[in-house]
Amino acid sequence: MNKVELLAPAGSLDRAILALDYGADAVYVGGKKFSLRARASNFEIEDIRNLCLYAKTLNKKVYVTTNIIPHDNDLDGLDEYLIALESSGVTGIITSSLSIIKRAEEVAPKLERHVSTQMSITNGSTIKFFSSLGVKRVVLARENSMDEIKRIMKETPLEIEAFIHGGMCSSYSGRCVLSNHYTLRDANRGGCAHSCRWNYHLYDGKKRLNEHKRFFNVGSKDLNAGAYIEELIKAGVASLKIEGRMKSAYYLATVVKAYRMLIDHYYEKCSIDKKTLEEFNIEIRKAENRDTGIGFYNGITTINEQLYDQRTEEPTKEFVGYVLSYNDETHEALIEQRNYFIPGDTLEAFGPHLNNSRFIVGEIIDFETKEVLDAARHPLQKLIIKTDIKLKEKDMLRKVFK
Amino acid sequence: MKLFVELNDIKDLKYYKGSNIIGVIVGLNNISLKNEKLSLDDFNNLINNKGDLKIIVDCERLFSDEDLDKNIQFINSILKDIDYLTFSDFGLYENIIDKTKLIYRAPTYLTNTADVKTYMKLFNLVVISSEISKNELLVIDNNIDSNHIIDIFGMNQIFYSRRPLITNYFKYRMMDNDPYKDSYLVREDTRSDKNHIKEDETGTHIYESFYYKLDEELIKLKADYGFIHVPFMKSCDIRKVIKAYNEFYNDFDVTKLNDKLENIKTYKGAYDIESVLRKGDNNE
Repeated sequence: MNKVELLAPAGSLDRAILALDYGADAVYVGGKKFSLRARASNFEIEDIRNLCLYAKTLNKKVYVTTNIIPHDNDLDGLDEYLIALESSGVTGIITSSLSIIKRAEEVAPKLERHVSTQMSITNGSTIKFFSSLGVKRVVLARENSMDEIKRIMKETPLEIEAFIHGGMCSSYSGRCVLSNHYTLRDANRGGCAHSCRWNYHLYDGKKRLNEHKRFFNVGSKDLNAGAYIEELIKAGVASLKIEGRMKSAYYLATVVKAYRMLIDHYYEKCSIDKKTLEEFNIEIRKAENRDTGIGFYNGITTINEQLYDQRTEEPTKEFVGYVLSYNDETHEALIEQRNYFIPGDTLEAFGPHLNNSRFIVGEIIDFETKEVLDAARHPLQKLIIKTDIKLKEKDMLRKVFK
Repeated sequence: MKLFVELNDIKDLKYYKGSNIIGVIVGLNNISLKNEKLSLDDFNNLINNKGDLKIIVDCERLFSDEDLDKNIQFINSILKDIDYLTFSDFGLYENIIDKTKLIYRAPTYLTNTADVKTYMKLFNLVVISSEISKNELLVIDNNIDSNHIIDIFGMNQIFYSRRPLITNYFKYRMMDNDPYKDSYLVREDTRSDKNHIKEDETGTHIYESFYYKLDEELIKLKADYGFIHVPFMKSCDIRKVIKAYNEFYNDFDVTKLNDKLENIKTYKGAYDIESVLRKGDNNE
């Protein structure tokens, strides 16, 4: 059996490269057209080509989403786009349109065709249906429990991809038009306004049942399926997918590295022990800005999977710097500031090849003016700090809060 | 265009008549998405008393493997007594013994000509999405053979979740209300319109706020069949809808059609939006 693929999202070229560097086996990205997450789709064909060249050097893969549910006008330029993707070295497309699957087979046959979670696949018979359409892989609906996935895996003729982390729709994907009706923003063409996360009042006829400000909520916690990685790998799932093409570089690096650690631990020890899982969850929490749960992995969701009385997106202030270079002789690191920190703060460095390593900040020097600063307070400011830890470009620094 | 109308209560069967009303659409427990469902006794009563009416059973829910195990035998057993079955789960298609009776219907998916044509090659009949503008509908209808179906009146589910959201909410708030009642509504905090919300064994469903309807567009559409959906509607209003559309297809008088529907709050729904804007589109 092939090793499971860790599949990460990326909303830009530099984040895609970062995800690959931090341990993803593959990335999925969206182009300017045909893709959900319209705001995250910053990839021109040239970007995709460059990404594929980079991925090839690491023996890794690139998938491109063409997963909108298109209207007639959206399909202009499809053939040219598919041909360009194929010639760029893209491994496959992820789509929710049967006509795009068919067209890709006709004009760009080397592209693998993967069926998107937007098709809400919840049983093995649907997978058999898709196997007759020349599809290579399906992305399961997030509504499948672990037991249901195991049953699907027993008879599937296709590769299976399952979500393990990130945002969850409350509705079956592809079947929700709440955003369309409330805001005119099409949830199935990249414009979802996340209406499921808003506050609602519940009525029984004319009588309101919820007390004022104690709203009826339908929004879901994010998914963290770390506890199910061992079972998913044992079941034979081909790809473990992280959601989040709009997420920051810091989030991506933290989450990808944490899952990489977990997956590698499984393959080394043939199991994941409680201590390793706890370490994983400690790492993951450093990036999370929303409450997480296990989604449907344990069966039909309970109150533990819902967001009530809370809007818990808190921008994480942990991420403080991005390493641009390190001088082995002077032990000086050139960093780009991302959040406030001061001399005396304890920072934790981590990177693609660097396990968590802590140090206390000494002097902070402005790279341009050489002035000694009392604090690192300006975003993107270039600073010099000293540390004995051998940092590398692309390593990251986060603050350790007491 | 010949019309199928949802039948919510077997007692109303006698009103489903007219030269243009050729059938009923019914829901059954555990397999349908439709809100109102017939008991098995009522369903058998319908089969025995349908006269010339055709019967479509709504089988549009999503199924897990276990759901299919539990229900597929029953679904296959009723095929001989019905004319069609609407579905949206390809897994159901794989397990149905008579695929000629299948109609694909999932209001969010068949939104472009290419997909409609692709689905029409795979399945006997399809229903074009009602979550597109009327101009888009006219284009698709014009580009394909007439052997397809259009939703001409209804109230779509705009949210379909596997989560038991009402049950969970009552549990969280420690309320002992019955989560499966028909009478629940939700209202977004900053808005005034309410939406029906219904939880059942298939999950939680939220409906759009009003009934959508097509009227003048019907004159240009060449589809052979139209569906009329009437969730949560009182019997007296259902009769008005049946009469209005049946007579419309005799005289094609749009003014009379709308006069007959005057007391029912309707709008054009998604059909009336020129394009549903994506994030980043210019809103001018």
